[in-house]
Amino acid sequence: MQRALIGLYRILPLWLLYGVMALVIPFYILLDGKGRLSSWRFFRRRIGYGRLKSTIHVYLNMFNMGMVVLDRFAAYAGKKFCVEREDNSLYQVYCGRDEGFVILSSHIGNYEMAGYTLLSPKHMNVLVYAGETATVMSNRERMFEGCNVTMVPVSEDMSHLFRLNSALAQGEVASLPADRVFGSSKAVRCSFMGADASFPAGPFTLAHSREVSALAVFCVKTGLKRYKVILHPVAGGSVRELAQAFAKEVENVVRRWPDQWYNFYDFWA
Amino acid sequence: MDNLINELKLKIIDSLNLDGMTPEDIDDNAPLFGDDGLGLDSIDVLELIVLMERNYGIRLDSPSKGKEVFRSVAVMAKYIAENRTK
Repeated sequence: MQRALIGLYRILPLWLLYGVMALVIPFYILLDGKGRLSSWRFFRRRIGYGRLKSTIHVYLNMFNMGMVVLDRFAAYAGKKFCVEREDNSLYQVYCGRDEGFVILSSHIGNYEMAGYTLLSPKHMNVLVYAGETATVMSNRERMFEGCNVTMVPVSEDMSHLFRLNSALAQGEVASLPADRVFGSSKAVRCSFMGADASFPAGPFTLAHSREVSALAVFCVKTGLKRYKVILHPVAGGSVRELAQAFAKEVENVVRRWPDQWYNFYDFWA
Repeated sequence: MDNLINELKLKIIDSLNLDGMTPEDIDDNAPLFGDDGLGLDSIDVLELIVLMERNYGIRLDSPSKGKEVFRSVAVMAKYIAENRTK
C-alpha cells in the first residue's frame, strides 16, 4: 500500500491526491469517534471556537494531518518542498558549541520534513517509534542520507536511552518528541492552553541530568509545498521548569496553527 | 563496602527525587526495577547512567551492561568499587 502510494506520487500531482483525500476525510471522521471528539473539544475548549466553527476545524485538522502524511510519501517519491527557517542562525549557534544539546519536537506540523533540511554539522540522533513499517523506515534512511542523522528506535531493552545519553556525552544532538507520554508513565503536569496537561518527563530529564541546552523545533505547513521551521531555546533549572518552558513554546505555535495539532486524545486528562 | 552502599543510596534518593525515603528504606539486594523493589522505570535509568558517570567516572554505553549493573544497590556498589575512576 505504502509502496503503491510512493509510486503514485511519481506520476500524479500533489494537489490531485489532496483532492481525493478531501473526499475520504469525512468518512474517516465518522469512523474515528474518539479522535473526532478529542479534536472538537480541543477547538471548543482550548481555542475557544463556537460549535459550528469547531466542527469545521475538526475537518481541517484531519485534512491537515492527511496532507502531512501524504507529503511524507511525496518526499520519499522525490517531490521537493520549500522549507524555510524563521531563525536560521540559532541552530548554527547551538551546533557551534562543543557540548551536545537536546531537540524537543512535538506532534505539530511535520517535524520529519525539518529533519531532511536541517543539514546538521553535528551528528543528530532522532528517537523514532519502533512500530513504523519497513517501507517508512527504509525511505526515511534514504532521505536522511547526507543529513548527518541516525534514527534511534524506541526499544524495550532501553538501548535507546543508552544511545541518546552516549550521543550527548560525545557532543552530539539528541532529538525526542516531548509532547506525548509513552513508554515510561512518568509525566510532568504543566500549564498548557489554559489547563494542566501531562508532558513526558523523559526528554526533560535527559536534558537536565546531562546539563545540556534544549531547543524546541517545530515544522509547520504554510503552503501547498512550503514548510516553515521554528526554533526556540527552552531553558529551566529543573525538569519541571524545562517542561513548562517547552509547554509555553508549544502553546505559542498551537495558537498560531491550531489546525496542525495532531494529538487526537484527551491531552488534558 | 557498607559506606559505599550507603553513599550510593543517598545519591539515588537525591537524583531520583525519592522524597521521604531514607537509605534504610532501600534493601541492598532488592531489585531496582519492577514491582518487587524500588519500582524504578526507564526514565530513572537515565538518571542512574548519569549518576555513575558524574560521581564515579563510569560510562555505561550498553543496555546489557546496564541491565547487569542496575540489578540492585549491592550489585551497583560492587561494580563501582571495581571500576570507578574517581
